[in-house]
Parts: sequence; C-alpha cells; structure tokens
Amino acid sequence: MNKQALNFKDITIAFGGLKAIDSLSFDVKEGEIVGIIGPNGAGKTTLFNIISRFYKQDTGKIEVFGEDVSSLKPHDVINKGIVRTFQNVELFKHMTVLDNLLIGQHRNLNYNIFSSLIMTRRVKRIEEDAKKRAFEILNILGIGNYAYYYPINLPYGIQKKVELARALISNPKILILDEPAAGMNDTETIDLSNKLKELKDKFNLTIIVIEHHMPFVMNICDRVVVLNFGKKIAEGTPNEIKTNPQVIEAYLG
Amino acid sequence: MKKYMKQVIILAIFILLPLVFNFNRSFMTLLNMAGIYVVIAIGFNILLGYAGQISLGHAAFVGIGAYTTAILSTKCNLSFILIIPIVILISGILGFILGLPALRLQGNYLAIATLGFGVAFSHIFMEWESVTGGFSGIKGINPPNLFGYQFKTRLSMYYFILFFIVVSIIFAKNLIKTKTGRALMAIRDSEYAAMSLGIDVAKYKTIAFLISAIYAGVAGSLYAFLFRQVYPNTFDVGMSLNILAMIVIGGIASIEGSVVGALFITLIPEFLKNIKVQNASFILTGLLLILCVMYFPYGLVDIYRRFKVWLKKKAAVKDEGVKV
Repeated sequence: MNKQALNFKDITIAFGGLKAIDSLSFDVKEGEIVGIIGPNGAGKTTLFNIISRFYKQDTGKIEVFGEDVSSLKPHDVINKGIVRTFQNVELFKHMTVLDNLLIGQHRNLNYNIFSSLIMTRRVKRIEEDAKKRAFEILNILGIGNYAYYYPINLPYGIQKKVELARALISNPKILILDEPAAGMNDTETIDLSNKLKELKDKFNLTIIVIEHHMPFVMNICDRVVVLNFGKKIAEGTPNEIKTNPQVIEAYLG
Repeated sequence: MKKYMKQVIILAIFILLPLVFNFNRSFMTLLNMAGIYVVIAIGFNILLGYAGQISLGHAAFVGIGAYTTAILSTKCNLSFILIIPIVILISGILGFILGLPALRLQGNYLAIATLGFGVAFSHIFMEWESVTGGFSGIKGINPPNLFGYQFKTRLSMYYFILFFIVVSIIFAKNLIKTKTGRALMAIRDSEYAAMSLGIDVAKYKTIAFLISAIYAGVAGSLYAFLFRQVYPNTFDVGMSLNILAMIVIGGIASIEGSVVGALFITLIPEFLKNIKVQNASFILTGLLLILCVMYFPYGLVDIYRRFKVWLKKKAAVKDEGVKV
C-alpha cells in the first residue's frame, strides 16, 4: 500500500450560518488520481481553497505526508509540494507565458535583491537556467511556440495548459486541478486526460481534480469522492460511483 | 555591446545637449528639476505600475530626503557620499512604515491613507520649527563635493543628476526583469495565484513601497543639493499628484514612460509660456490626463509602440501587394 499523501480529518467550515463543508474526511494515497465531483455549491472549490490556506477551516486538520499543515500561510503551501490551478484560469495577464512560468519557479531562484540590481553573473546564469527549464516544460505540453504571447491573446484551452505548465514547473508532489477540462471539447478533453496520466508518471505526481466532465473523471481517476451540500455522500472507484443510488439522486434529483 | 547601442546614443544626446545649446540658467534649472522628477517617477512607477499599489503621499519622501540632506549638510557638515546612504536608510524605513497599511487596504482606501501620510508630513515640515526651520526652511546647504570638485553650477548639477538617473534606470530595469520585479507584477495581476506559487504578498508589497520611497528620498536629496535650500511648501499634495500625473501621461508600468512623463510635465510650462492664456500648462496637463485615461491607458509611450506596430503592419501589407 502506498503511503498517504493527503489526509483530511473532519474538516468543517461555515460561512455565516451555511456549512460549506461539513465534517469531511478522506485521504489521498501517493501516486493516486482522486476526482472530486458534486453538484454546484457542493463545496469542492472551498475544499481546494482550504488546502491552499486561502480559507482556514473551523475544525479539523489537513495532513500532507503525515505533517499537519493547518497553520501554514498560503505562500508556504507550495513548499510542501502542493500546487494548484484555478477554476477560472488565474494567469498573470500582463506578463508573457514565459514570465508566468518564471514565477512558477520563484521560490527556486536563489539570489537576493541586491545581486539582481547589479545583475551579477550568477543572477544571469540562474535566470538563463530558469528560462531553459520553462521552455522544457512548455515543450512537454506542446505549447513552446506560445512562450512570448500574452495569455489574453491565447485560446482558453491553451491558457489552461499554460496554467498547468506553471504549476508543474515548481516540481510539485501533489497537483490540485480545479476543472482542468472546463471549456474544452471532447477531443481536447481526451487529449488532456492522456496527457495528465503521462505527466503523473513522468513527474511522480499525486493528483486531486475537480471536474464535471464525467467521461474525463471515469477515464483518469483511481478513486472518486462525491460531495453534496458540503458532505461526503460517496467514495469509491469510478465504477462504484456510477452505480451508487445516492450519487444518482444528488445529480439527477 | 551592440545590444545597448540605442541606450548609449540616447545617453550621449543627453550628455551633449546642454553643451551644444548653451541653455540659459533658468532653463538649466528646469532641466535639472525634470531630471529629479525622472528619478521620483521611476520609483513611483515601480510601486504603481508594476506592483499595482497607489500612493498619494509620495511628496513626503521627497521632502524627507531633502530635509535630511539639508540638516546633515548644514548642522553636521557631512559629505554627500555619507548623506545619500543615510537618506536611503531613513526614506527606506519610512517607506516600510507607509507600506504597512497597504497590507490591509486596497484601492481607494489605500489612496486616502497615503494621502493622509503626505498631508501629515507636509505639516511636520512646516510646524516642527526646531528641526525644519518652519516656513523659513533651511538655507546654506553645501554643494556636493567630489575629490575637491564642487557641483555648484547648474551645468555640473545637470551631470550630477544625470548620473543618478542612469543608475536609477539600470537598477529599475534589472529589478523588473528578475525575481523581485516579477513577484511585484504577479501580485498586481492576481494575488491568489501569486500566493499559491509561493510569493509572500505582504513582503513584496512592503518591498515595493520601500523601493519607491528610496527613489523619492534620493531625488529629494538631489533637490536639496540643486537649490541648496529647502522650503516646506514644495513637498505638498500638489507634488504627489504631479508625480501621479507623470506616470499616467508617460506610461504606466514602463520605465521609458516614467522618463517621458517626468520630462513632459516639468518642461511643458516652459514651452507654453508664450501663450497668453493663464495657466495654459495646467489646462493642457488636465486635458492630456483625460485623453490618456480614455484613449491611451498605457500613456504616451504607448502611442509610439502602437505607431511601430502600425508601421510594421503597413510594411507587411506592402510586401503582400508586391507578391500579388
């Protein structure tokens, strides 16, 4: 059995009187792809925002590789190997694709502000290496020729890929994807799911993914967690979930 | 060194400019003032254009730089080589303090808070007579002295200031193309994405305030060395708004834009002085502000940029035409 990558223990968060997530517990094993599905407003993105520490849970705790991360600041989360993408693509829109990827490497660039003011040889070398690495990742995702474009001029599908590249470049152990296939057609979605499987093996990733596109979820997920009104109503392999009466009711009822 | 050809040529033009034209003293003073504003504007653009944080109190830092210089020069007789590092330290500390509310406030609220900071300091300059000399200011600042050479004339001060402009531009350019500058832009474009990629938003917002305060402080020091006297009403809200106008008209998030904007706003009254309309320069500045905000949100440098794109397109069309 693989060891635990992420462990949610009894997470609850309420906004006003509304419990967005209600005593949720599940875990994610290393190397797994876990899908999180549920109707709108089920608390999926809220859960991701708790992992990113944008929200603090009212009770419960999150463990990453056995370590409690509840007290981390948002900018420290990446240092535990967790990096995410956003539901509505959060690219830095006034910066080129290349610069977006350089920000993905921000914490790996070890030079201080004074040496960058006078552009020492070391700073130049580190910057060159970072650029090379950015192109490597862009080429793996097949978007190397967009390096000098501004995201705003790119089609939505490409923007999603840039965001994925920006996440991958920080060498994450756990990748958190919020609706990666949104706005893509069926062929693009199949391409993406194949690509994700390939990337998972290549970079030894553990992936948690929110997605509404069911064929996508069925294709790539090892396990699926179903949320409704903040509560976990089912958990299991895609096939188990497909036939679960509660899930069918939540989606169709 | 072919890469820097354009920059070297521009620098050479500015070095030769006063030698070739032999400007009169009042125009040289104006040019020097424009140069000082260039330094302030570059720093302010790092804050406003790159980090996306507003400040309406930046004249306070210019004043702090100027008064620190005045006091250290007249009372302690320090050389400028020592004064400037001290100015950097003091304006840096105060920039850090002004940066603290920015961690909690955004947009209009931050504008009001920084405006308050600016107003408070302009009153401190006026009222704290034992230190600032009150309304009569401080006179008798020693000119900068480098190995026995005194920067006393307007022409020598021109080169003195030009040196600081060159350093300011190089530092700013290097800053924005490396880690720190990118982090600032990331915060401007999306704080959440920046955080999730490991950028400490509080730290970098503070850095942005600190850097722009240092630029303003050093510029204040240059101001004190240029006029060799300082008065409190120079560093009022009007100056802060002027700095803002320079960036908006010159070009937001552009170092070249800062330079163009500062030169433009400072020199325009000189070129309009023959027009027999009262306050013609204010009217023109106001009009330009409105036009820029409406049609050129990236300032005058954007007109040049668009012109280049248009030329390219036209050339491309011409080539196509030949083929057909």
